[in-house]
Amino acid sequence: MKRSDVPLPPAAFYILFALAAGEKHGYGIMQEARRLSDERFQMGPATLYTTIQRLLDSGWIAEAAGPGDADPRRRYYRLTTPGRSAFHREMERMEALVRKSKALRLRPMESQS
Amino acid sequence: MIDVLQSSARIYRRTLAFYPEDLLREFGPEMALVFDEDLARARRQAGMRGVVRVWRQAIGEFVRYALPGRLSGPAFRVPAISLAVFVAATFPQALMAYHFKPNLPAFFHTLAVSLILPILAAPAVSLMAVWVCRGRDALSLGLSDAAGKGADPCWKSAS
Repeated sequence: MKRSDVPLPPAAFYILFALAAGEKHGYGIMQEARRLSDERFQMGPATLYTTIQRLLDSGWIAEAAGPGDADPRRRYYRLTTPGRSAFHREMERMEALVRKSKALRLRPMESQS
Repeated sequence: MIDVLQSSARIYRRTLAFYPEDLLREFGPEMALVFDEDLARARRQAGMRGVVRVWRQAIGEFVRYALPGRLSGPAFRVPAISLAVFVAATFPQALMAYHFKPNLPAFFHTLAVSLILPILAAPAVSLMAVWVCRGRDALSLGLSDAAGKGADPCWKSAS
C-alpha cells in the first residue's frame, strides 16, 4: 500500500484503527473492528488476512511478540510508525470532510432537525 | 449444534485449498482458527442465524478471493479449453448420428466411430490449450518452467 492510498479501503482502515490501541492477534483485530464500527463493518478471515498481508508488505504493521502466555497458534500484530502516520492522515482526512460538511450544513442529522 | 461447528470447520478447511498459495502458506492455519472462533461466537450470540451469517460471509470471500485465482490458473483453463473443443467437435457428429439413426445398434456404432476422431485429437487439443495458457515455451521446457511466470496471465495471482 502506497502513501497515496487515501482514502484507505475499509478493511485496512479498521485494522489500523484496531491496532492503534495496542497489539492484537487476528481474531482480536476482527472483534475490535466490529466493535469500533458498531457492528456495521464485518470482515471474514480471507479479507482480514489478505489485508494484513498487504499492510505487512507495505510496512504499516509488523509482527509483535505478544504476551508470554499467548496461544502459539496465534500471531500478534502492531502498528509501525509509518502505519500510525497513515492512520492519522486518514483520520485527519475524515475530520476535514466532516468540518466541510458542517460548514455547508450538509450533515443529514442537522438537516432533519 | 456441536456437529454444525465441527462440520463447518471441516468444510472451511477444504475450501482453503482454493485460496492463493502465498496467502495459505503464510496465514492458512490462522484463517481456519479465526473462522472457528468467529463461528462459535456467532452461534453463541445468534444461534443458527449467526452460523448462516458467517457462512454467507465466507462464501462471499470465496467468490472474491479464491475463485478468480483458480479460474485464471492452468489447472482450470487447460481442461476447460480441451473440454470445450472436444464438445464442439463431438456434438454435431452425435446430433447427426441421432438424426439419421436407422436403429439403435447402428446409432451407437456411428456414435463410437464419431468419437474416435476427437479422442485421437485430444492430446493435440490439450497441447494447444497448454500453448494458449502458458505460451509456446511451455511445450519445449515443460510446465514447471518458471521463466514465463511474469508475463503469463495464467500465473497471475489473485492480488
